[in-house]
Amino acid sequence: MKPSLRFNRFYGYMALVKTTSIVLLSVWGQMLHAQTKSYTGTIVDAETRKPIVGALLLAENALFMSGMTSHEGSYTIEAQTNSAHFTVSKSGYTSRTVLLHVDSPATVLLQPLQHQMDEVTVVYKKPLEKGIESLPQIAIDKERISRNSSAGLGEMIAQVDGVSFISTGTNIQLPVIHGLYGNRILVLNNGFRHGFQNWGRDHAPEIDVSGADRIVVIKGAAGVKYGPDALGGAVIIENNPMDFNTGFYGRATTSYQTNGRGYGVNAIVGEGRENFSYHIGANVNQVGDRRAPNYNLTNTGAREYAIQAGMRYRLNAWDVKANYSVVNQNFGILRAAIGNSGPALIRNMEAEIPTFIRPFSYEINEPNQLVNHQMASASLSRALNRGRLSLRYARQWNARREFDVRRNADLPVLDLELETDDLQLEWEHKWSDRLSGSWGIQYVSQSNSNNPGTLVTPFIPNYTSSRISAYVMETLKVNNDRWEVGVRYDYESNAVGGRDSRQAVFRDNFTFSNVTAAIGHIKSLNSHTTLRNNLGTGWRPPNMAELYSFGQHESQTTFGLLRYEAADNGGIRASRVIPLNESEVLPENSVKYTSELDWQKNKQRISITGYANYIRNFIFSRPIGVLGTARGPMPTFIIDQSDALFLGVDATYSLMYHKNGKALIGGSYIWTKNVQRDETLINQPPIHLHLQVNHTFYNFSVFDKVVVSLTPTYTFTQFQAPRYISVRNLVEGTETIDIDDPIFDFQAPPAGYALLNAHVQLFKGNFSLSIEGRNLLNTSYRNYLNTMRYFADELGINVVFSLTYTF
Amino acid sequence: MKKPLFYSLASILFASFLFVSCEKDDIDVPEEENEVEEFTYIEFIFTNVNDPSDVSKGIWEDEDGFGPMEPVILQHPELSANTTYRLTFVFENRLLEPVYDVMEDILDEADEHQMFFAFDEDLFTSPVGNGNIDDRDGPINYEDSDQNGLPVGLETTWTTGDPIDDAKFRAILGHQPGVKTATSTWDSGDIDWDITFSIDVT
Repeated sequence: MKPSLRFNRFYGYMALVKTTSIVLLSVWGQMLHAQTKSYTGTIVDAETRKPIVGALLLAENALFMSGMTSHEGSYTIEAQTNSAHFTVSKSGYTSRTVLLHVDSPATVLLQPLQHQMDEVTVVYKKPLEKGIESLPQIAIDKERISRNSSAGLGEMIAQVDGVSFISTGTNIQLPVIHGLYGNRILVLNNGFRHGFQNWGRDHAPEIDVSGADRIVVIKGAAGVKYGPDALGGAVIIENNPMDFNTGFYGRATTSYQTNGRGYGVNAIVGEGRENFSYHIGANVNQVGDRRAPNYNLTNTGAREYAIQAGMRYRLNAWDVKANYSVVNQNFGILRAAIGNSGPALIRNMEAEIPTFIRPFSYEINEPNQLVNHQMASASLSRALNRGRLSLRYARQWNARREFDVRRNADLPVLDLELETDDLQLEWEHKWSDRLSGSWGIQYVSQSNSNNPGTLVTPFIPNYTSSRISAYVMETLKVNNDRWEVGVRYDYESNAVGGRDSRQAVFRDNFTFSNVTAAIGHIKSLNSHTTLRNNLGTGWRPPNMAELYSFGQHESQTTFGLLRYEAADNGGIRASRVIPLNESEVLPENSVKYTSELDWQKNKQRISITGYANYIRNFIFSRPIGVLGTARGPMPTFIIDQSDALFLGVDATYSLMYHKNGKALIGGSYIWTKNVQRDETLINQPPIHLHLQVNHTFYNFSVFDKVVVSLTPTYTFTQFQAPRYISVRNLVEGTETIDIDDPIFDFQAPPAGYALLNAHVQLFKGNFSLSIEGRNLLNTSYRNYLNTMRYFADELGINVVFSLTYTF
Repeated sequence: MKKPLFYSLASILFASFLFVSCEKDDIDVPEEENEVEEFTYIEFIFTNVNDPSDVSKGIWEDEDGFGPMEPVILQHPELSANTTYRLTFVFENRLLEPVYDVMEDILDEADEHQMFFAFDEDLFTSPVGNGNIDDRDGPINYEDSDQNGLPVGLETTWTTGDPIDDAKFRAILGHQPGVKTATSTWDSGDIDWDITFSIDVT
């Protein structure tokens, strides 16, 4: 099946179906009155102003009124009415509907579609990020995003095979790609790396995705283009492209969800004029305590508001964009997860139902996280003869305050301010029709500071981290082959100043540098088979939390790489802060190979991605036992380094069983190993399978279109999980752990589970109503990748209603 | 046209890099924080009510606080048989310089705290029983109270029985903001510390 345009098809079907039904009679009626009047005009590319040849004009209510543009981009259509709405479409452009009047020539501007889309599929794929097209990429469209505006980024992209999320409760979700998460996955927002406290499993990127135009997931080592953070892949959030000549447009959505009694409103308006474009949007959400099938999950509410605005101006070859966004979040964390003492923790972990359950409330108490993230960015680009030169700058402010259940609960236990400056210069060029590429220089500087007054020794130190990078990427086309090569150099310098638990000052300065390279190959084996291969290296320096964590946060104690040493008795010592140069700490170095086979023929499609990723000095957190404090023994984790291997496969098969229906089955499997210690890795995604049946009904009852989909999924138990040793046995001393003992976990992995999700979306004119049901069978289950699995079940049934008005 | 633009943009980039990278060496360290929540040194002081010079201490220390070192018992109390003692405490955070007196915080928040005890039944003749950890109603001779008239337990009295070796004596300081009532138990709120001594009565 040839990739075609989503909107084309949509309007095409609508027009066709309408004309072949009840409207047919009136068309005949109009035919009888047909006169020799005509609609005339031209259709031009909104960006280049060049005429578009072969654009199709189709009257909305009259089958026989249609036309196509000539070589000059002009059209003449014999008129049956004095005016009519026409859908104007052409592959490669966004279709639009215009009102044309007889004998009044019109020039219709069509906006070039930047990317092609595969229609019907909810999650469709299309390579688009230039220079890394040999990596598997999948995009999630606006329609899918707008279905549930309170869903986090993690949940949103977890529909992609090979992608999941690791979470701390319902509110905090970090994307996981092929087993990697945290700052191995770049989160690119509006072209810039999201600058946030990217460490731990309880800090998720604070991005409002409700306003996103599209989310692209890159499942491979994209480090050459994006730097160390993209070692495991990238999640690219594309905001409003601010196209020109779109007219005034807008969208408003209001939603309600049954689980947590959440409600939200979001709206955007924008306008694209000839040389000027702007948009402004806002999103407000509030959810109360969520509910597992059998009990309330007390203190799991969330409050969030976000505003974003942007403008774009074009003058000759210059293109200027400016954007601003702010996100404000208050996320509750399950109260029953907090046990400030050994006995309390044993109680919480062994409890069949959580130990702290209160009636439903919208209130958010400790433990909770308050985050304010602001980003201001500007970009200036100039079209060159054969290419484009762009200069982009962004500044981000991230203020995070976390509250624990403790004596001074009104004081934050963590109070951090992170400022990020990001400057990028990129030269995209085309040497010839066969050879093109981009060169760039990037500079990123982050500065983190602890605000005083927490009455707790800062968990991570103050620091300034600056990185300068340069890359070269070129793509060569040879017949049906395309080759991509890229090289990048990064130099990072860090200055650190912190305090240890005796409040003594420690300081350190250190640098890292690395060369990253990648080579990719795209081959069209025949008209329906494409093979993509990519071999790329990556690197990542350890983050500040991995180096310097010390002490208790939420219900665990963690010691960073520079904060502990092996002690003679098999335990650990933490008597000093080790200077990095004296330590054995090294940056992660990876080599990842991905291979994707894409086969499409007639009504079937198969896509298989296989990958192998070897990471030297892989940094991970692992339980080391329970260590004594005044409050009794606390579960303790250390940050460790080892060499690790990740092998996996993602596969999807889809069948268009009907012209309006599609069935899809997909799954992902990953095998991981700590090859240095010859043992399993902890917190890796289990095998996941999903089935989806998607059917569209046109002109169903009073609706223009009805889309129905049913998605059963099955997630296996993680049979590669480490052995488990209960906290009780560790506390009571019946089992003891040395630092060199095999890895373990405090609980066995949860059982496998089947879930049923369904979705119905009704379209009528400018309105659409979406009803999405999640966990419809109200299954009680626990998710291996959720830290809260130690304490409580996942959410029970949730039905999300959202009503959208688009104009 | 192309080249001057490229070079000027590149030099802006480079200049800003130099500007920012020059600043980085004099980084401000976080300000000192008084860790009020940390107990690193605790004394149980048994004082003979009839002879204030007859004092025996149990001493517990966790040298590195939240660090990985296990807490140690430096000294177990040794009591005389058939004697009445007043039990008081010293709570300190010795990680800080000067040493921070945590007792003051506890006294300020007396209405949020309560001591709970468990002990071998043969250890004392008063109170009788084995304490109020496994059974909240077990008698304890609390000698103090908070502003709500509820016991705190920073001062208690104990009368030993006949000589006994290695008898267990456990105390828990419960931190119960908004939870403390006449019936709240040791695990109603959170625990500030949980220490067990073994006592010889001679």
